[in-house]
Amino acid sequence: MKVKVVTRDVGFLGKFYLPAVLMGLWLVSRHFFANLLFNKMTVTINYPEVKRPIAKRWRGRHRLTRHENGFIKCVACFLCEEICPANCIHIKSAEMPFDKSVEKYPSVFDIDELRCIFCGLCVEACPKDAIRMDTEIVSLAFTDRKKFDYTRNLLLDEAPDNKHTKYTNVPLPTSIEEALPNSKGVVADDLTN
Amino acid sequence: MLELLINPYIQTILKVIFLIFLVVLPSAALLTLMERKWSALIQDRRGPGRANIGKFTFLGIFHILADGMKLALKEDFYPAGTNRFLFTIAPYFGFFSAVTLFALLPITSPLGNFTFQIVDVNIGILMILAYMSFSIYGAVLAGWSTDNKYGMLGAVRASAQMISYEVFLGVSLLGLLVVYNSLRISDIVAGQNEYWFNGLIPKWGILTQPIGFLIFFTAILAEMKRAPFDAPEGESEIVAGFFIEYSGMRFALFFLAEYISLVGMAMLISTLFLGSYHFPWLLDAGFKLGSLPLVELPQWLVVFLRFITFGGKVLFCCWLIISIRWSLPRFKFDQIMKLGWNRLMPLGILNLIITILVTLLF
Repeated sequence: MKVKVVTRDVGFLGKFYLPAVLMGLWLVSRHFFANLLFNKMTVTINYPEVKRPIAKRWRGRHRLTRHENGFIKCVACFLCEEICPANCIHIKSAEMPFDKSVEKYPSVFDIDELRCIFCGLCVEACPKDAIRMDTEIVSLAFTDRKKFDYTRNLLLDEAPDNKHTKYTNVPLPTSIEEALPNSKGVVADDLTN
Repeated sequence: MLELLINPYIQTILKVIFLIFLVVLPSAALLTLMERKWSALIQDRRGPGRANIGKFTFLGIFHILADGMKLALKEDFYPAGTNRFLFTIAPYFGFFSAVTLFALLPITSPLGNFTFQIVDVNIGILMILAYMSFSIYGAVLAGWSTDNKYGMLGAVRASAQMISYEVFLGVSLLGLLVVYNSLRISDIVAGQNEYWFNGLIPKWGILTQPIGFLIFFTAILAEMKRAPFDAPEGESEIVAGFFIEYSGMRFALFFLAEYISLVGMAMLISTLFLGSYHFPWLLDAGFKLGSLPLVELPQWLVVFLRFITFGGKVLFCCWLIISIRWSLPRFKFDQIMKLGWNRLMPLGILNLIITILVTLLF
């Protein structure tokens, strides 16, 4: 059998491992003192207090967007529910009572975040830019399974860390009077009269 | 009351209590955390720092408490097939040998008639070697009594390694004994405060016996079964070696003994080779460098400075031992034996012969 003999010439001192030990000690102490004195090379992030910056296109937890008058943008077209590969979006539509520029709005918009695979297809499918995944909420962790069922209002703004929502903790307008004055929505005559 | 304090027996008991509870146990407990912290710094991590009381973490110092509590609350477990008697007594051998070492090492120079050393026997070094061999019993009995093959393998490795490295430990110390011409620790310590070249270079062990120091250091690492000589514990091969079946406070004894002996060995290295508590050019009366005039210092200040110096040296030795753990991979068992018998042994004998010749001729 052919055997390839590898000869390692480490020299006289190398047989006592001394140069290797000294080189190792040099490397180790360089890291030790640089980290001890200047904290320079430490790559660990103190996670819950300090968060790693994430990319803008990162797909975090969903949110539902609003018009400037405070109305929900979603028109309950069911495209996202249809395309969702994990079947985690559950919508019930209802007739929009105030804003007559749209026909429907979602009376129920639930996302089961435990089933969601964060593929982002719902965002791409949405024709109204009503659903987005730009909340930068990276980790969802609860002690109760039911807390993963995000209802419509949670997706809108009631989640405390939902930082991209403009109308945080403002309830959805229940009438046209409550809608903001610079409304772009077209209001049907019979309702205003 | 004062007469009681002057009584040498009472003094010795007080010294033992002081040493055990204020030096040995706190430093060993701190080292368990320090090793993790220092390892983290070396590996560009942050290390443990989450254990807290309220909002205070104090750089993770509460991890000592948390670990202690966890170990104390664990089940006291005897696996099937153990020899209960040997299983119970095995941890105490290592603990005993680690703690007794401190009785012989001075932590600072005497203040008046009061020495900061528990006993100063005329066979000091022999006693240290004898106590150190005791920890082998702990390893062997622990591995044997557990009725576990990993434990047995670890015990066999530990005994073979420690017994053979004790030989090199002795050989490397022989040169030192020739230079300082005494087995008594206080004589060796005093000998290291003498100077060459009209008070310029101190006669520290590392300067009079550089090769002896290297062999001694290597043998100490092997005696403590620390990396790179941690084949007896080798996590990746035999899980934990001889103490594999231990849990709870019995495991804590092994764990604590390891760190106590780390402090003890660091103290031993600094005592024998790094000039003990002596700071260069700090004499009993004050500072004196070469032929420059003496800067006088009060005795209590000298004693205190020497205590600080000794602490610094011990800390440095602990750091060095821990750093070596992260700079070298584990030796194979045949490599351990080869390094010992083929390289360190001839080198040690050569060093001894040269030392004797130089001492005789000059």
